[in-house]
Amino acid sequence: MKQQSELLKSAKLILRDPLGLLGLVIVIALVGSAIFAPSLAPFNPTAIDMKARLSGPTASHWLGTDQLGRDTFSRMILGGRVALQVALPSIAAALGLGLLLGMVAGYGPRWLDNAIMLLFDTLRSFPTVMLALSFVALVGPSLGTVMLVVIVTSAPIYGRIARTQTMTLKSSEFITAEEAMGARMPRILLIHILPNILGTLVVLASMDIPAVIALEAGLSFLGMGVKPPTPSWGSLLKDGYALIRSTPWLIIAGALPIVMTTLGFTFLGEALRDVADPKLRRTR
Amino acid sequence: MLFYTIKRLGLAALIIVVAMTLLLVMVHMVPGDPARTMLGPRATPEMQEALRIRMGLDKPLITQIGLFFLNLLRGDLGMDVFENRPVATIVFEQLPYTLELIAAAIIWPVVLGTILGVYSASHRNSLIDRLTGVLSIAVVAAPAFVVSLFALLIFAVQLQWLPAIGAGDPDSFADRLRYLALPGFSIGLSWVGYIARMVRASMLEVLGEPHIRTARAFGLSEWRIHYGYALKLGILPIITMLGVGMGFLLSAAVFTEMVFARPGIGKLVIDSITSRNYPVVMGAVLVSTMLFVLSTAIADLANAALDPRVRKAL
Amino acid sequence: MKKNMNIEWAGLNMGRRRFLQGAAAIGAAAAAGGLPKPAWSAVGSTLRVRAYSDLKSLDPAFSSGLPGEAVQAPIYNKLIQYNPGSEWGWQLDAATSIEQVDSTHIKFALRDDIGFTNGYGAMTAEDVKYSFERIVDPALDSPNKPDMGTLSHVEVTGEREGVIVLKEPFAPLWSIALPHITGNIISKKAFQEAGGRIATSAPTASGPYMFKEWQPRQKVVLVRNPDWKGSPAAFDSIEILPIDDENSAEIAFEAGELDFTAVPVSSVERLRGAAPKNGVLKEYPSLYYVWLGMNLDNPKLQNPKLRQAIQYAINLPMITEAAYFGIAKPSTGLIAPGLVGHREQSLIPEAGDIEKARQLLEESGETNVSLTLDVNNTTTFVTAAQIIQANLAEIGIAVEVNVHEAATFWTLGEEASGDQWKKLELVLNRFSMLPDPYYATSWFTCAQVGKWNWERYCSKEFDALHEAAAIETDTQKRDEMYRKAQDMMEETGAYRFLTHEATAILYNNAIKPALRPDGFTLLRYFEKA
Repeated sequence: MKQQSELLKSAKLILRDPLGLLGLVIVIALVGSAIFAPSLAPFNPTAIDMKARLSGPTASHWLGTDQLGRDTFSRMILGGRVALQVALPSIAAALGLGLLLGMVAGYGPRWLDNAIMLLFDTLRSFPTVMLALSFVALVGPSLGTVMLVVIVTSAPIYGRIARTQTMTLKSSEFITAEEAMGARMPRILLIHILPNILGTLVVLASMDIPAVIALEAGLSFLGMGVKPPTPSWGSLLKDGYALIRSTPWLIIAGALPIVMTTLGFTFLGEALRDVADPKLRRTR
Repeated sequence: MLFYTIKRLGLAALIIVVAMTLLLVMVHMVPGDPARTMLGPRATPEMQEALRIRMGLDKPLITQIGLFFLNLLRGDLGMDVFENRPVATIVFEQLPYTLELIAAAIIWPVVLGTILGVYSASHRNSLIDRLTGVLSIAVVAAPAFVVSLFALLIFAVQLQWLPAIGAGDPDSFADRLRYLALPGFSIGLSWVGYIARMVRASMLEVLGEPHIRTARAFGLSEWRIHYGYALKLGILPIITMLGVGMGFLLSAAVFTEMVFARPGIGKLVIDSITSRNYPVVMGAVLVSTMLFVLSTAIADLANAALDPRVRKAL
Repeated sequence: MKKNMNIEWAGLNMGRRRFLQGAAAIGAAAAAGGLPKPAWSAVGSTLRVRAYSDLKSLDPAFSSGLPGEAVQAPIYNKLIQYNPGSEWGWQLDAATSIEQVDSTHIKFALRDDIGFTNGYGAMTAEDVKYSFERIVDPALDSPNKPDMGTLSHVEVTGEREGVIVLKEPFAPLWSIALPHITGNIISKKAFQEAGGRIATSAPTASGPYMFKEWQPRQKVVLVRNPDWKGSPAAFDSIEILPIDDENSAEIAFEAGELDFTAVPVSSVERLRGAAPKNGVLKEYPSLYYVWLGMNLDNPKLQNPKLRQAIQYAINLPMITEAAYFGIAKPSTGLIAPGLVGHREQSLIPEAGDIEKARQLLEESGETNVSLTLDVNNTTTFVTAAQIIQANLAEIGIAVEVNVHEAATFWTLGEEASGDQWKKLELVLNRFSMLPDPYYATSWFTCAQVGKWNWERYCSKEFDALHEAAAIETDTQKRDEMYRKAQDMMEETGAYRFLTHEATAILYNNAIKPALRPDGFTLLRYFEKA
């Protein structure tokens, strides 16, 4: 009961913040269009129409067509679905992995902490492109490979944060008390530490969704993204870059949703953070 | 502090060792053959085998790893059998171009971003604050290669203010600077907003802390509080970010070096990977990893030296 | 006008047939020696051209690909050089005369006014002997060895006279060995001093230009060779800039930083309408060949009717239109128009025949066919692959397109890289080509199975034909043999030939470029307009 009113209050706070509201609208629009993409798209996004190649915006093709005469607008809409399909599971997996390793590092013995941190730092020290290229070369380009790259590059970031927070909590009185009562490590981590650090990390992760989408775009640009003819924002950008002197619409259709998604998730994330952090709320 | 420094640098060295070992293992597993990609279709199997031997790829993996570190200790990164030149020469030839690009891509965003960030923090919810917020995020999301290309079309083709490709006359500082302008702008653009947001956030956090409230209670002027105390602490995250950002900058440099046909490490890494020229891959990645690891280490040390809160925690 | 003043240029406009016969060609006797230099050569200037990759080697034995030859051709001389223009042919360069005495002996005489810079003396027949023989020397391990074909040795008969001796007749001598990369004549003395091979700096030059410096990943600078006595170099210096991104190269041209570049085919239509200021657009057919291959050893592709159904389902004009913007034309085989062995028509119509394809598939008895198609990851190939995917979907074959980064792609059919060749089904492939049909068929022999022959087509008859055609000196017969060879390939059902691609170039109207019929630069002959 009390929790519900707390939620309601938070929701009100977000709605009262115009940018937060805007963010929420964008995110809902994105998710909505991804869910209903097949019915929203005016054309089959993979249907080739040789007569309508590389047209500019027309009444039927709102954002023009690509080199195969496929409707750019439909590809953009369906691309949103692919973007979320990549971003959500991979962020979730990265978060899960980061949390697990981070908590173990923060709570466990010193040597384990050092080993895990070494792993994190090593993975972060590789240029992303280098890692991506290696994975693609190893397992072939696909959505799964993109996701793997995302997980490997972002898990260390969440892991570091989880570790720091775990370390802070570890020395707090209630954990010490639990330990004194003989609680085991898994129990302490799951019951006491996880709920306390999950909130911050989820907000942080949600703000990373656009970054993941941009990473997919970058990989597709290097020809290491989704399999054709699957539409993705990255493949729109790749084709758009190759054809940039012929038509600007492919680049626009690829870049605009990425920019909008970034705006949406960032605004929403910042609003959520403000709500979640009473210190900031007070100074507002 | 001295102990921390030693420990931090030791960690940096360890990361490099682990990273290079991992890389060698990956190199071993990735399909594609330098003999085939570099010698072309006319090479006979005997020639391909001879090349593999010259590159040391015929030895067991563990020996390759051992040899790599052994040679590294002597400062030897091996030979590029295709250009017949030491890998170290090739890598260090390219390094200055990337370093100057990174410098060009970071200095102006730090200055501009800090100014905007401080202004936003002290004029919260003002028009400029909101505007920087929106614009900065929008620009962050625009892929570097798109920004590069449009910068080229506008400033090099339409206005003809700046050169389009290359790195300029190596002996003329002014010339090099001219050639740096567009790539530096293209990479740096996305950092302005990022830095502004970060400075804003950390200043707000600092402003909420007890000692600032104490300062307020003592009647210090808002100006003194903002610029005297809060800013000093508020720009600390930039240092950390610069360290971490080195990795992102290196990735962004790949695209920019491609579009502007600039020499540099980023492009060297990609080219050597795509041609499977492993000795050069190892050398180039070693240097870029070292850049990254050292800059994070330096950032951590600088943070520790500057921030009393971190220092206490050591 | 300028050309007419230059004897070695004017006398040898032999046209296609002559070139193709090659063997009987006799050089015009006169050397260019004492002609007065035209006044325009005194004007100082720099020619800036784009190359798609950086310099790898200045050694003719170790450079591969066109960018290497682009840099070497202006600084070294050859006995004969390709003719600039729209027809394949050659002209004399360092040779004052060259004559096929019989099918295995070629007599040549050198000009007496060619010297090597930096004090390496006059060019002699010894230099020619050294240059050619080192290419086939097993100890040197030159990847360009096959270009020299059946070379046995070079006999030195006088200070500037010699005889090239072949083990057996070798028709491509006139179209590849002598006028291309292996034909570059180097200074024996300079190379021996350098230990038998050089890398990225040239100790000496003999051509109209000489090597000045290489700034890795930035440019190669060539400068006018003051000692050059032939038709004068038009530019004080030539800068060759490696720019791999075609869009960037086009932009650099528009920004006035290049005088010559290839442009993406996607730009051609726009540039036809409005070329940039001072820019001239030219389109050339190229020699590359692109085809869809099928792995004959894959269990899924055993049924010949199925393979034929695939051949007939593919619509070439759709591919050239979508992937090459209509600039490239559909091809009939491996061998491009203008070369011996070119087929006017393939067995299967350009646009395919969808009804026939359906019928063939039905006859094959195969149902629920689903195949993979492996491609390199450039936009062009991925686009072409999606057309093929759509074409095959029309007759009910599902295709999954697998995109690969280049180095991985080139291992797919290679036995030395593991077992993945067994899983290869359809593959979109593209090979480069030199102006002789021998170069094309050499990749599809039994010996090449599992190396470059990924269809794994192996026919004794085809191999014999390939061997015989290489030493056949009668052009008419040779032509028939290569046409037959391509028929045989197509009849296996494992090949659908798609296109030879096209090259579009953009140049500043202040220069007058000299290009091979396939658009490749002959920098030493570039002039000012």
